[in-house]
Amino acid sequence: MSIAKLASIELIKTRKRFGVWMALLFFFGFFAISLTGGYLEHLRTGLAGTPLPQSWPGLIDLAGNLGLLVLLVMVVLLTASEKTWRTQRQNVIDGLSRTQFFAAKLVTMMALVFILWIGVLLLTGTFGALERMGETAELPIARDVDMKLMGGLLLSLTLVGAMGLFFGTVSSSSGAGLALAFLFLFSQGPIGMLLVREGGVWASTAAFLPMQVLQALTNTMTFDPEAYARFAETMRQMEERGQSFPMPRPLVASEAIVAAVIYATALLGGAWLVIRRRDL
Amino acid sequence: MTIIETTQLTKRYGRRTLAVDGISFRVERGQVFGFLGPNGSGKTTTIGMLLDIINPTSGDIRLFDQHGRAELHLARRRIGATLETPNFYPYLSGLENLRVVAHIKEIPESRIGPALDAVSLAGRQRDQFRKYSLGMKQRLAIAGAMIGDPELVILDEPANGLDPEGMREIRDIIRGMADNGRTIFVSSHLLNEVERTCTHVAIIKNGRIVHQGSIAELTARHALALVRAPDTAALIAAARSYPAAVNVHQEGDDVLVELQDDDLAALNQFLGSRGVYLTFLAPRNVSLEDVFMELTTDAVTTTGASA
Repeated sequence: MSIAKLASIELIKTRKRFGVWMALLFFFGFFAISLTGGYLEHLRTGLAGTPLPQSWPGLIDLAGNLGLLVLLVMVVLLTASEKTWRTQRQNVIDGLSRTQFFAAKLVTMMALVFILWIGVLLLTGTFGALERMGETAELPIARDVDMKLMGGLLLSLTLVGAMGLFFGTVSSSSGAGLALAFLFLFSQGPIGMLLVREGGVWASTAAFLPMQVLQALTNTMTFDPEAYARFAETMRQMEERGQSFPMPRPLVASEAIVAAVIYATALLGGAWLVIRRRDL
Repeated sequence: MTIIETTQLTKRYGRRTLAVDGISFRVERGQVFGFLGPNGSGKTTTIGMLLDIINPTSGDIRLFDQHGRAELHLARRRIGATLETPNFYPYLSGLENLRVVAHIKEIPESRIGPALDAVSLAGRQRDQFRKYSLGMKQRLAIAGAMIGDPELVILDEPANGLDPEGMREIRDIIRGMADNGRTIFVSSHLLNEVERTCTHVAIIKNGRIVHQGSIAELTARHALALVRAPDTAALIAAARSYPAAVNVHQEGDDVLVELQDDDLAALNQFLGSRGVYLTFLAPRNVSLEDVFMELTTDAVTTTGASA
């Protein structure tokens, strides 16, 4: 069965899913309100509220944080409910192989990732273009580091989607899936602190916890060596003054990308194995 | 042509629970095959293994003479099936749910209308599935199973929870499918319904098949005699000592004697020789329910003459 056919099946299932529309409305509504605030400021004062390219890092970081919440909820809802309603079982009875069922969910997840990603870029670009003026208008609409951040956002959303697919697959209901997913994410702060306090190899490990990787992918410093060097210098100075506090070291771009790809592959592979081996 | 063949099919959950214990059976083309057993006997687990939603622990499945994971997946596309309760997306209409099924089966959506007509749901096709009655849900499930024009239809407890009218509708639909030459595999514990619709049965108990064959063969195994005497206790005792009696049951004031032969005169003579004089003696047709109870109720064997 072709990917297009799988996508058409998922489209019938998804387009009347109230929870998905609510999550998308929340994401784009929140994002648009942030941009509209800047635009109204621009109309009132004549100054750019969200000037491009300077606003890309902040808005991409916002999109990453919002996307973490919204995408996780959407993917867990769409995956776990198939178990609750036993429609996964019926899909297999009707002729979908278990691998095709997984592929269909993967297609849905990636479609949602692209909708969020493209939506963020279009909204930001549109509002930014409306406000281009003065010296800002002379700059490119996106710098090199902004382009890398856009890629980072795409990878970050993909990793979140993979988490949603995994937790939606291993749990028997949407509620249980969401509880597991958020426990997984929010437990990493305290765990990271404990690892950093242990020092040595444990502290290095803390930098690669999934939440750290997600944050790194939408952080300018990850993709801007100069910003990274400035941050490292600030941290060194604070440490000299005895003002430092334990936190995982920031990742550089290559580390964040490789870690994200490994995590996403492991989570998707785990979800596929569960679907393939579990009695439905 | 053999449509379904299982060999030593086994499903074990953990170390303790043996849900299906090495069952082997065959279903030939054109049969309406009843798969009977008490609750928890392994019926749904067996069907689940046939449909690839439960992984067998061991054993072999052949469908349409196909064997092996990839071939079985292709063979399963020739099957229409429902398992336990009807499973559809509650927020979608009946029509949209069947669109999902049609896309999965890669068949044109033009087949949805006739399928809905066949189960009398065309007038409610745009209502959400969650608003359907149980009977409508069952009929939608049958429409979903039928939409791909399958060669084999597997129905698990299709009349569960239905009122007599709903049962009649399901029975008519099954008969209609059988008349069209489809092979039907139906599990049920509604024995009267099975006896009316099936040509062959397998009876499963504690994960093992205790009998399989045609309904005619099954009900012809023994003869039944309904007898009455003034002293029922003496009648039961005497009947149990009759050499050709297989089972003796009390049914109200009467006693039902299951015989190896149909010689009622010999039974009457034997009982008279024991001082038990009958006030009533009549043959009774053996129903599927009688046989089912004999084969699946542990207590039955202890009431026989040899007990």
